[in-house]
Amino acid sequence: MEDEAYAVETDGLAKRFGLVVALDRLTLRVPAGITYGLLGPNGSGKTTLIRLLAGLLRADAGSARVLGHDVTLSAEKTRHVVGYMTQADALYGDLTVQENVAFFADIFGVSDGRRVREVLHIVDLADRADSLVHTLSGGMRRRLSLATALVHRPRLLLLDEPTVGVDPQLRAAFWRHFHELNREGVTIIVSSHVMDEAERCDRLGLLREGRLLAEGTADELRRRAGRVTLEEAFLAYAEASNVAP
Amino acid sequence: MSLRRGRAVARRIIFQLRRDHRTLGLIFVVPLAVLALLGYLVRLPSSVAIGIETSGSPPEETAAQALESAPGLRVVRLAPGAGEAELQAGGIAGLVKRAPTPSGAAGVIFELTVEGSDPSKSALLLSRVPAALARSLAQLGGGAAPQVSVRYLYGGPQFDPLDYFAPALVPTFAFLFVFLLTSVSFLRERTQGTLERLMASPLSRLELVLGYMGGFGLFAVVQSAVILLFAVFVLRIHYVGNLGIVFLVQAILTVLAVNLGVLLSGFARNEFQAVQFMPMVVFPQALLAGVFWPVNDLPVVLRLVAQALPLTYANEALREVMIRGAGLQSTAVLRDLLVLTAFAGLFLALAAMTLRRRAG
Repeated sequence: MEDEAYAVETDGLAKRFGLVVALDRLTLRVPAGITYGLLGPNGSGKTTLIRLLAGLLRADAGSARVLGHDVTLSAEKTRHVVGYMTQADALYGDLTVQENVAFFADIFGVSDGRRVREVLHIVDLADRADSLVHTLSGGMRRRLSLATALVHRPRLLLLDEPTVGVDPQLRAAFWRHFHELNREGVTIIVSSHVMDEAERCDRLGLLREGRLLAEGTADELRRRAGRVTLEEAFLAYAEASNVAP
Repeated sequence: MSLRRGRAVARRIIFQLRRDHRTLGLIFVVPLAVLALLGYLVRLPSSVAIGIETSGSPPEETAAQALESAPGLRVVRLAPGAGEAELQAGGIAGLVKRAPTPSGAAGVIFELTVEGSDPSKSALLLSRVPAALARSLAQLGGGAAPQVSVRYLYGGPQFDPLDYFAPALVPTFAFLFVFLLTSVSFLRERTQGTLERLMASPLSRLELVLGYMGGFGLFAVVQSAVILLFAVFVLRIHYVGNLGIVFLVQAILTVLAVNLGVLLSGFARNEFQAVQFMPMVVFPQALLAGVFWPVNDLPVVLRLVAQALPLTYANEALREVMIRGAGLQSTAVLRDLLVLTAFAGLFLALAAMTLRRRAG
């Protein structure tokens, strides 16, 4: 598993919700140890893809492998090594900061109490360890949410719009930390519809209506589209896909 | 003050409710259904079964006819010696039989044995049976003073209606509060997004439901003990059986309520809908599970419904223990405990099985 070149591989992944096509035969490879940005407007399939990789949804067709394991066949194995930060904070407001992290540590079988304090330091919440979560600011709750996703040292981190509602300073701190995790070998898949955040990702996948419009580094995507900004490049790819669906 | 703004709020509420079919059902269908059931139960012809042992002798036959002419009594004629078993089996609420006349005394003596577990039935029998027997003895003539002696199979004259209702009300209250608390709380797990996080973790569905059972179950069991001790030591209800068994029944019932709360909360989208399960769970059990109307007195269809309700078994077991003094050697109590445990297990399994779908 350590030697896997790709942390995530999907092949013809498809998912519908009633008449709505959320993912349309999506084939994607995410190299291990990088931050991979899923970029696209609301409803483009980013969250569906992340939830499929987290083992929360079953694909209608196609397959997905996470860290070498099929997510459907070996869901139990992947759950131990995947960290998932949802769009909502997903915290217990009537527990303290420390109790929230300790709970998720228990769930993931982390018995070392020092790890709880360690992640609280990482997200700069050590001095609020005994505060009740409902007394925290929105930014603090986002940091705590990240801490609960990190506590079990995941090898793949799935972050669904992690910086929504986060101020620029904290956003910068988040990204510094993501790159630190990359250096430790953690692969991060982060969804966003904010283009300036995409610049910070090692590679990007542009999604629209459940399809992968284009894939590569930010520079490659701009160059191939012949545009100056990533936003213009995205629009160009979207337009091209309309012409030739 | 703007009428237009007020109207906007009213319009919004009408639009919202129009799309919430479950709430509409609750507002229009449930009250009518409950009222219909309640009305039906209240108007059920109520007669109390009284057995009389008769060998066909004139005093016994006259007495039986006198009982038959008394209002509210349904007379069951039994062979001499068969009455006691019928009384214990619950087929009759009271038994009249001839007692031997002491040597030297004149006239006929009847003995009325009251089953005693339901004070309202006891009161009816005590007000009507001795009077009817006295009339029959007067018809027989002979000048001797009519004599009717009364004894109780269970309980006694000191048992009041609370002693009869407490063994049913105590579990009913415990059940309802625990059910409401758990269903709303588990729903919060979903609305605040933590269920999604947990479903993506190694925690299995069964572990999650068992965790809820353990956590809420602890408080539920403590609550059971508090309610029970309050009923016994503050309300001073009379009881004869072992309080340990009473507590055991209560504990199993409240754990069952936790599991049912988790199960049903999955079928609600918000707290509002979760609270709506209350009347659907509460009313049938309050009306049919033997709290107010004995299950055996219900028509066959409703009796079948009652047999599908967990509270029926808790009420039955607690009355068996607290009024009739039954213990764990009683097959009725053991059966009730077994059925309650099976219900708790069934709800646990169903809650775990239906969880994944609901998290999605």
